[in-house]
Formats: sequence, C-alpha cells, structure tokens
Amino acid sequence: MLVLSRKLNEKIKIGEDIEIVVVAVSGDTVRLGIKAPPSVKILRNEVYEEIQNQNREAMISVADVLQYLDLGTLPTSIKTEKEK
Amino acid sequence: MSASQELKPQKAHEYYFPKGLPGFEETRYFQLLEEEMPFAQLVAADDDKIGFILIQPEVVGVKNEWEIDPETEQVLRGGKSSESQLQLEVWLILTLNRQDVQSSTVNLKAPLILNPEEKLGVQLILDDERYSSRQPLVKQQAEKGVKG
Repeated sequence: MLVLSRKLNEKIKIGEDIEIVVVAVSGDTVRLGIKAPPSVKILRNEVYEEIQNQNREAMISVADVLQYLDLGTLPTSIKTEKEK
Repeated sequence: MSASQELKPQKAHEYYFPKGLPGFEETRYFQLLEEEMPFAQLVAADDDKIGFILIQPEVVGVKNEWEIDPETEQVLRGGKSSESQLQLEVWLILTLNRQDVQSSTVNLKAPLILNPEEKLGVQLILDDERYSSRQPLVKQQAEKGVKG
C-alpha cells in the first residue's frame, strides 16, 4: 500500500483518470474530493463491506432451501398497523 | 444433485454477472430459478451451495425506485448501443432468519438488476441511508406501547 501525506488542497493522481483532493480537514475528519470517470465506482468502503457481509449471511444452499424451507411459509405480505 | 432430490420442474435461466456479487466476486454465472411467486432462487452455476433466496420488491412495498446510473445501464445492455427502453427485472436478496422465519430481512440497499433479454445481471449498491440492507420482510407494528 502506498501511503502519502497531503495537506489541505493538495492532490493525488491515480492512473490517467483519477484525481483526489483534500477539500477540508476538521478534527479527525478529512473531506476528500474525487474526480473519476463514471465507469469507476466510488463507494465508502464500509458500504461495500456491508453488502459483502450481507450477501454472505444470505447465502443458502439449494439443499437447504429444499430440505429446510418451504418458500410458501415465508410471509409474503407486509402486516401494516392498519391490518388487524 | 442426486437423483433422490428431484427439483420440481422450474423455469431456469442462466445469467452472466460481469462483476459477480460483492462477497462472491469470482462467480460469474448464476441460474435464476423461478419459484412460487414472489420468490426465486439465484444459484451459482457451478456450485449449488452458493445460492440466494430472492423476492420481488413489490412485496416490501417498493417498486421502480432505483435510479440506474448510465454505467450500470451500459453493463446491462452488454455494451450494445441502443435507444430502446431497457426492460429490467429487479429482485431483492432475502436473508433468512433460520431461528425465526418471520424476522427474515431483505436487502434494499443492494438490489439485483437483471436484463432478461441479454441474460446479464448486476448487484447495484446504493450508498443511500434511505435503504437498509436488512429491511424486515414483515413490517413491525408501530411501537405505541400497545401490542397486538
């Protein structure tokens, strides 16, 4: 991993098309501006990890679905507060 | 699949996910098995231990909400340029709560977007706090101090 120090307003260039600039520094929070082509997806890492973890938790083998669960037993309508 | 485990006849379609799924980035081909509405299963083509229960978004009261960015649209078109309206199918991944099925949740934050014509799929991640990755399947009654 390349580790760089940047001051406010300084930039980093990644490849030909990606640029990162330090927009603001406030306490322990760094505000970053990112310029990248639309094909490059930019995500807070914890959001991507959240989806990875959720997918892993959701994973269920076909055998389990067949033997363990009859999909018909899952509730398929939302019970809202107006329903008694 | 052994002969003793007969799947009831299902419609199965193979989809190509160019980026796999988060957590399963190496898996590209998935079978979409349509089950009794509103459910489906998504199963890795070469490993039936990698599977997901899918549910239609309408079941949790959500429909056509997601803005597909142009890049994702391009991926779903298979790089073919076309002016025609893209017909897409959206499914949500269900996380089964094996101890308490009623408490199962659906992932609104990362819907599966499928192009049935090209058999392409992506899992779109929405960095938007409006959408939970663990949305309850069954809406809890509002806590007003009154139960039941």
